[in-house]
Amino acid sequence: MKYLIKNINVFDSNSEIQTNQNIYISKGKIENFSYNKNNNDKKCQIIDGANKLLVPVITDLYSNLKTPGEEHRSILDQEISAAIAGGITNVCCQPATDPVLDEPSLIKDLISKANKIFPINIKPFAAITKNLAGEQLSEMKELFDAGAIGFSQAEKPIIDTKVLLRAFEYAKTFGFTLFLRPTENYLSKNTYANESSIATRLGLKGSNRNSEIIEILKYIALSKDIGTKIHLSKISCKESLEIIQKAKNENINVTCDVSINQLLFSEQDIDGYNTNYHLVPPLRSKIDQKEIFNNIENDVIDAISSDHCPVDLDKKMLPFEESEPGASSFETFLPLIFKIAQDQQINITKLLSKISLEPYKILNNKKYDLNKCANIDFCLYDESLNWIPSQSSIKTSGKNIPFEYELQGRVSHTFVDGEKIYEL
Amino acid sequence: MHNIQLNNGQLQHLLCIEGLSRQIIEEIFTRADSFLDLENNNVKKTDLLNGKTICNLFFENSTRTRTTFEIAAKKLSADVINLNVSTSSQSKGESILDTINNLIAMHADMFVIRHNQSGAAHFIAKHINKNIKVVNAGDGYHSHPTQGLLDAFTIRHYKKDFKKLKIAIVGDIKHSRVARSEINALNILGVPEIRVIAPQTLMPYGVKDLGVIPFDNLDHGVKDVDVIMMLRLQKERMDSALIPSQEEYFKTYGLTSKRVDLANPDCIIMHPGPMNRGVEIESSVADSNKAVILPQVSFGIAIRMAVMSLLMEKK
Repeated sequence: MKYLIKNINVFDSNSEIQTNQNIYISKGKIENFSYNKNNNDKKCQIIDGANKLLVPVITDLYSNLKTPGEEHRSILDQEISAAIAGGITNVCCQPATDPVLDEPSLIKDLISKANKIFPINIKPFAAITKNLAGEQLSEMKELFDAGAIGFSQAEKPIIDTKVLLRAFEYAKTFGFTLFLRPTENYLSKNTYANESSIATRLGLKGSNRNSEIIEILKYIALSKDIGTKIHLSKISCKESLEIIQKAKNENINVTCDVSINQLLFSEQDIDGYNTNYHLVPPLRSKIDQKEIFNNIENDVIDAISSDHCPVDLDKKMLPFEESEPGASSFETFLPLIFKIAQDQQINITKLLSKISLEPYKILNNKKYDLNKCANIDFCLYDESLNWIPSQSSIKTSGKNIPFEYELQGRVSHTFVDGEKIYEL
Repeated sequence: MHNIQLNNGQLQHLLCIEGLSRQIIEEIFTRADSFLDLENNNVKKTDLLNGKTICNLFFENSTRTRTTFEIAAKKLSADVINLNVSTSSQSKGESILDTINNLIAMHADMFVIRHNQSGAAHFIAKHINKNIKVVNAGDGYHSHPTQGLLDAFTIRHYKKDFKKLKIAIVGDIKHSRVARSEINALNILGVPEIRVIAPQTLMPYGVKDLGVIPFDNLDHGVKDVDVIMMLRLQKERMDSALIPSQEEYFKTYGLTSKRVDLANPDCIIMHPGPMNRGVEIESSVADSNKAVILPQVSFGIAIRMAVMSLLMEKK
């Protein structure tokens, strides 16, 4: 199929927005950015780019597809559809599934099933240890060959430090990246909120911030010694960012992301026991949030992840600590990025680079080049579309969205391999 | 926090002390006074809640609190259903809301709820028919409002004026819903100095923000206070490395007569019960004439009668 997208603004690979571009796509390839001839080809579909922004390769480094494990409610179809509707074309999903993604056949099967729904780039993380039990290393090379993009323990840290050290050594052997969500097991177990006066007042068991800090110090020490590339997921505490900045200054091979939830909400939102704010890591203080914004500006934070986690309504209709943590965010991810840019007065190009250029680089060790890239994936974001996410307007199986306000802007089209696979 | 227990300033449910006005608390106290007067005049029962059904829904084991609620409801002539949910439908997999909805279908007018999850009473109040009242009888570490009210009522009985008092709360502040409710009630009633005394391991994070002064030394903490409110130390705290032993706890945080002597001479000693003699309190102190522990229990019935009758009057 051929497409001509006329008068569109384009977020390019230099992190700049090029205005009023005409983009011609043929055979899955962007052929001419400045295509402005009269188009007489009747097979070429013309898309009006007015009020739209082309955002290439949105890459989400932390999400949960809950597959395998919940096939009985067709969850994969709904989550892939939600990702596409959110313009997310690189979906990195966690291995905390049932069974755990620790076998090459499971990785292959997930990718194949997803591609039958949409030709989306599902990039699963495989478990670092078998069954995420923290005891025996998984077959990392086999898993990588089967399609795993990296290795993660999801929310289950390796408690035995000797196993952790072996994981670092083994990953280094093959040049694999470990994607680690820093959380010290004993300090974080059975906790549900940031340990603070708010949790105290509400009587909720608090997660001590040292749970994150101690684990990061451990990972950075091992990375420094062994040289393993590590990516730290869903950073939430300001002290963590200070440590990561220092490590980056020492040229330790570390990158990190924050969950979009930490940018939007703070611990004050749990007041009233709204279980949609029951998240992992817990929402932290306004001070932490301010430091997160500062560290996005100064690039200590490399990426922003959706932390998409569909939760069945029944599992949210419970007292706070009994409810299942997580928020659905695939479809609201990009509109919320624009909202954050506006509310926090952060340049939108900075934020867009944190969801496309930078995470793409973390996965691929290189920048994508929009001009030369064949089979490029991208979405069109229409700033003129206002909508309120609701149970009926979103595709994800989890209707657990922690806000009810109107969003300005929505993904109108999604292209994968230069072919349109979604139109609102 | 959006205070769902109030509607236009009127009490709809009693879920926690936080957010209540002084006026509401005093209204409850005045009503409790009138029930005490009836009791003193040998009137054992009123018919204020005749024909109403009150359901004691205890998701967590309790004998004392449930019994006092039951006595209070029966003195108001209500029909009482006691349901120990921890051993019934919940263990069969029924959700908390389904349990509640079933009981609503059986035309209960009020639920008295105890649950081990903080916010459970809020959760239930948020999801049930507005005409049905909810009284929180203790939720997790969060709140035990009738206990907080009865403790403040006891202090009012013995000390009259809250505005001149120094009050110490001693023990496991971190895990205590009673302490949180007491702190909230005493702050609303204008107590100028509330001290909380515990080792660091039993002191909650950010406790100063609740409007108290933390002490980790009992001798310093009880000096010159007018009221000492003791908290029960639960045995499982020893198992989770919060304190090394009962013996060491008693030596450092046990209320002895020697320590009581550091307080004001007319100091009163309170305990929500059940007491661990020799762990948090010396027997001679618990049995001394400064102790008002048994009057607390009697006042508890009057306070619960006051809360239930006031709530049932509100539309």
